[in-house]
Amino acid sequence: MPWFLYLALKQLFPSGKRFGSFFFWASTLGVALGVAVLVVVQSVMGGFGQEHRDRMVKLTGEVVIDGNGRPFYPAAAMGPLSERDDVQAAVPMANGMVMVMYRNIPVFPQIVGVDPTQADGYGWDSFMKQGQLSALYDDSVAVSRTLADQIGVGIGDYIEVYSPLMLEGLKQDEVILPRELEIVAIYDVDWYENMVPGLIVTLRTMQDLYELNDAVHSVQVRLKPGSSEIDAVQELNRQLPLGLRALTWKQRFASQLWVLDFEKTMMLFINLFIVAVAVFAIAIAQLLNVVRKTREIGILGAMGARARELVIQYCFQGFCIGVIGTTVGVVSAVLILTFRNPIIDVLTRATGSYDTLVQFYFFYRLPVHYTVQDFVVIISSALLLSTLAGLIPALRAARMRPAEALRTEA
Amino acid sequence: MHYVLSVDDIQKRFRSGPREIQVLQGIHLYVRPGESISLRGASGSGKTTLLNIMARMEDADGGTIHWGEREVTAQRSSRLARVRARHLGMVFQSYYLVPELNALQNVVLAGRIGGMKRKEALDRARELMGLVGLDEREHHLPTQLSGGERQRVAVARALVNRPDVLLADEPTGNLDETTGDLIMDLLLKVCQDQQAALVLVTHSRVFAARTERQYELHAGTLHEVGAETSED
Repeated sequence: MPWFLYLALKQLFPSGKRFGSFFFWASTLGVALGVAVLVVVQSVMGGFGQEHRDRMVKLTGEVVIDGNGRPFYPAAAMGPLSERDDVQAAVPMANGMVMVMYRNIPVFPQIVGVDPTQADGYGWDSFMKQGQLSALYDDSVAVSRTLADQIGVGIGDYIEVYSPLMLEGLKQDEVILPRELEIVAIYDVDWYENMVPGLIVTLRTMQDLYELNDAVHSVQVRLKPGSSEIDAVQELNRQLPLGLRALTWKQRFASQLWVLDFEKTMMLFINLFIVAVAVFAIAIAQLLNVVRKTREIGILGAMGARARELVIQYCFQGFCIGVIGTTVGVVSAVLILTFRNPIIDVLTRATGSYDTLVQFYFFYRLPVHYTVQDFVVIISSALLLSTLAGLIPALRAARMRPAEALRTEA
Repeated sequence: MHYVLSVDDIQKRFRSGPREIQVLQGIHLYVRPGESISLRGASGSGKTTLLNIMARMEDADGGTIHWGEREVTAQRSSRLARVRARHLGMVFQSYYLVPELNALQNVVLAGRIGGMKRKEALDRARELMGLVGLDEREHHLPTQLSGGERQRVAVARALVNRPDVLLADEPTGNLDETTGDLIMDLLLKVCQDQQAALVLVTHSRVFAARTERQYELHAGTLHEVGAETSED
């Protein structure tokens, strides 16, 4: 091993000190804390993002065919879809907004019409808390838990539904008779209210409410595992008749995904400041170390040490602190993430914020998702910054003339 | 005549505010292989500055410096580092051992800086630790050694690269009289054994008298003691 690397290690782990120098452990702790926070925050943010993505795909499928807001007959879309062998299910949907009255309380939820005979194709069974999607009939409705709680209804209750077309009839002094629907299921998507329909009815009921005849607003397509939604959408867009378009779920939720990615990137950026603070602490500690060892640096110069060897010596110390600090930080983060749910449980119950967590974040457990890329960015940033932390003191050490260094009073 | 170290017409000025102080004025000094020379002078007379200039650890304002046949006056300090390690050994008043390394490691370090392989440096360091009488204490840290022992380690360190010249800047300055005597004995003996010339900066007339040639630095000029005219 070159002498300057050996001396760098000896200064971190001096002879006679089994556990290394205080400077080493203080600096290492700083990097470890920074890296641990970065990994935990990035993984949890990744987890939130992944949960949202899963819900998006589960709610709409990987591919959606729509008529740019205009109703269309599903056969136009089903033709090209039936020729594809990567399609697992393709189910029609109609959607819109209605007014619901229950005990004179009006609410205006989004409504979706589905074909209950193809319930499996929608993949919504896991959302159903009471009842089944397949149990829907033309005069029944499934209600979201949020809406059910809001108006105080349960299974077996009846609600009155007014469509916008019925309300339009009011202008012509028509007598409006609302559609009375029995609640046969209650579902919960655990997601933001404006992203989830409040009511699910049969496709026929929805077509009646919106006077769509046999038309629909979209066809939701689920692909077989491993299939590429981008390829599917490109091919479908070539085959679909004019006026219809295919979108990937990412295109459909582009703005929401952008927000999620932006949040994650911003968190990484903000948390990098934590590492930067740790690195700044290392730089200061190293600088003090260099000042304290000015005469020693002078004597190394007098013995024939070259400037670049002194630079490498102090940068290598920063690198070693970075390697060990990053390792400790990653291991700590993995431990924290492994035991995150008991930790969150204890913290939220102790602070009385458990219900708030569930209400606002919709997660009963803390989701975690990380990619190799996350780790590569965090580890390489921490190592680079730690190594650079040694650079300024190293350059100071290297610039000293041996005689000047030996004359210092430090 | 072959010299292992020669300085010609060395000038050095220091600026102190608007005042300029001429510390060295036309210094000439020629060191032959294996000989011992002492430089005496009052505090602030420029002894250490002259030593630093000889070692090219400090720049002169004029004059030339040769290490053996090589003129090193204008060479960049970074280029001279390795050459200095092999040509010159240095001993200081304050020892300046690396506190994180034990006695043996301090000596090995100097050998490694001088370009020796690890095994070669280790063998040479052990040989020198024996020569300075510290073979039993080679694994002691500097803090576990007395002042005299530390200076002996510093002497071993200075000689590890078999330098032609050993420059010693008041090596007994921090030691009591008895220990100072022992260090002086050691310096003269090991320099003789290792065939290294010794340039000793000292305040002590007694120690200076033990070298072959003695010089006094006064008012920026160097005078050989016992000679009728100054060296220049």
